[in-house]
Amino acid sequence: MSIPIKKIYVDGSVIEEPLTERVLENAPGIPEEIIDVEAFQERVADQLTLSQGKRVLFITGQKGDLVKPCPGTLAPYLCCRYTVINQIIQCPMDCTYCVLQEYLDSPVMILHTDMDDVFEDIDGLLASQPGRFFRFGTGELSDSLVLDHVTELTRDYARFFSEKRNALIEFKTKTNRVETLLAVSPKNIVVSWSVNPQPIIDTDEFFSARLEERLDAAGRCQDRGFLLGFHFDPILYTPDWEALYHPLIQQLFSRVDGSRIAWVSLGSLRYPPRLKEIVLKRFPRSRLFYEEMIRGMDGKMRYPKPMRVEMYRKIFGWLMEKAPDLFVYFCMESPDVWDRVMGTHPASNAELDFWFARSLHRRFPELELDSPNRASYTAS
Amino acid sequence: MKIIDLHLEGIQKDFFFRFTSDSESERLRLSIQASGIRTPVFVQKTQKGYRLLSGFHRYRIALELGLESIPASPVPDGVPVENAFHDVLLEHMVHRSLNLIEKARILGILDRLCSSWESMREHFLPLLELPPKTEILQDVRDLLTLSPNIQRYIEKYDLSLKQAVRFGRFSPEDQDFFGGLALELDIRSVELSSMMAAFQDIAGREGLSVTQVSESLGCPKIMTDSQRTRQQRIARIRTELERRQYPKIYAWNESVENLKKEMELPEQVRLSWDRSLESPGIRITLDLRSGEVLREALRHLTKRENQERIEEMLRVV
Repeated sequence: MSIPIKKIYVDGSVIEEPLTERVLENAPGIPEEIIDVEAFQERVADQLTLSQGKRVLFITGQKGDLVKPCPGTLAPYLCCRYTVINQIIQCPMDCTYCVLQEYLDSPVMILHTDMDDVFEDIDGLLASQPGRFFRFGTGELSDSLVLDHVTELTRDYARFFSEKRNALIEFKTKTNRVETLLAVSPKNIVVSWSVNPQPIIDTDEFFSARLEERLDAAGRCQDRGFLLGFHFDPILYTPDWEALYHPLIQQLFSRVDGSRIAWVSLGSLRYPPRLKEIVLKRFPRSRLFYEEMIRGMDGKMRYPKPMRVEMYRKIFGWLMEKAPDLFVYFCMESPDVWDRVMGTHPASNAELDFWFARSLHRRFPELELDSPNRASYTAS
Repeated sequence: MKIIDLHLEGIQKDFFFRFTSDSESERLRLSIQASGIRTPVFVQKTQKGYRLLSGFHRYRIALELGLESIPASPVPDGVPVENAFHDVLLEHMVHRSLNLIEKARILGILDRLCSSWESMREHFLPLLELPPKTEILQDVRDLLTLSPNIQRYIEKYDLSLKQAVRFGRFSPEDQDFFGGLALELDIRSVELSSMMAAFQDIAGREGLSVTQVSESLGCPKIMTDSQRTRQQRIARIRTELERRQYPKIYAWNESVENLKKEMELPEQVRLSWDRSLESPGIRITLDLRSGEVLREALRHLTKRENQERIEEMLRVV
């Protein structure tokens, strides 16, 4: 996979930051310009379409908190209390269904240089709730690895998290860019892939790695000792969805060992109503948004519940056939859907957070997690 | 301000600066008929004669009334025509605000004048109440590629840009259909948007054009059905659209509805559920006026076959 960055702009105030220097060194031949934030906004960001902005990188200083709770969604849908690190904002890949098209103000990729502030925030959070096990991730507002060949951020995070107790970081990706990662310690790291069948990747996940490449990269990470994660999210309905998703699961388990998978998430297509307009304009050939959808209790559009339940039941069943001990959770699903598919549901978001800790503690002793205590989760 | 008596034949017919739509102005016609043109039109001197900058309605009426000349004020020497055009816009906006199609035409005029970005941003965009964003300005320009019916509709209902750009996703044939539907049934933009979305979902899913969907739903017949009121015609089209847009939800709801009917509950007992099927469970409402109603309700609800039916319903909802 190849995604060209056409130009790098650098906020003059961070030109001497080590991360800035590293990026510029790793991106020889790419035109660069020093600019102040206001001029960048007016002269560059405001003038670019999203497709153009995805080819421009702006390196700047911190603007607000970069470490925060995953926004998730509203009750009654359950979320897992993940913590996101938004050091990179915007993604150069272009998935038709991507919510960032609606969520982010700027079309341009923004890299924040303030590593120390990020680490300080993480330390503060860990110290504030010592009885809780934290999962952090950099793949919420961007892809964790897509710029790693120039930023090498995984190296900084790996070094930082390898010394932490009761915390791990997840690098979530749709790429196969694992070269930098393969050279670091795998301790307290989960590398995870969002997966979809190849025909869907072809039509709706532009500039991402092919499924085979993703699974090959996952295999290499597993061989190097990393824990893995997989996100079947968004699961997309097509008339032949079973014929697409079943082979995907077979293919996945032919390449990776189920016992080294930290977690698997399931989530079906959901989006704020405003996204549809944007998608139909940017991707007039995509058919995903023409399916039957209802407005969920959180205001997001979703497939009707019977459709979701049918898809989840099948996919969950196929996963269990391959790895009965797998930790599978739903991302932004209702307790009713949990019950219908898995026969149980977490009583709260905190309880789901606890389930993560309990499963990881039991299955992966090398993480050296403290034995999780439900009370310290539900109280926080 | 210099005013000349300009012969109508000396005015170029390219209407380079025209941004307003044709509109009937009987009052203006009567006034000109009675007292002639009192406010001079604004013109630019060119190599071929004069170009109108403002006063297109006055010019048209003068032609229709057979006048030979009109009073005109030429742009003074040394004043850039762009500045003069800016003044025209300011003057126009004293009387009425601009609609989107007019804004699109103005952007076109500025493009033809090769206006610089700085001039656009400093002088014209604030006047047009448009942000200095390339993508948004292109959306506005593109409105002029929409079918004439749609452009008329955008002007008539003074649509927002967000509403107007939606038409651009459709083929000219489909745009004509929507324009015809909206103008024929006098459909407001919010309602039309929701109907368009339904048409688009069906067309996209079934691989048809909107026009084909409309024909298969019998829309042309419904639109002209003189036995029904305008509201009834709109409601009928909406119903047809919903059934086709949500076939699975319709089928699931129908299956629950059938089970409910089979239960033959007394009229004081009402079963309801979330028709979107998202919120789980069935709600039972009891209109309780006597103990007998309660006993009767319980007798029905606890019948073995009705309990099975409720179980069956709960599998769906």
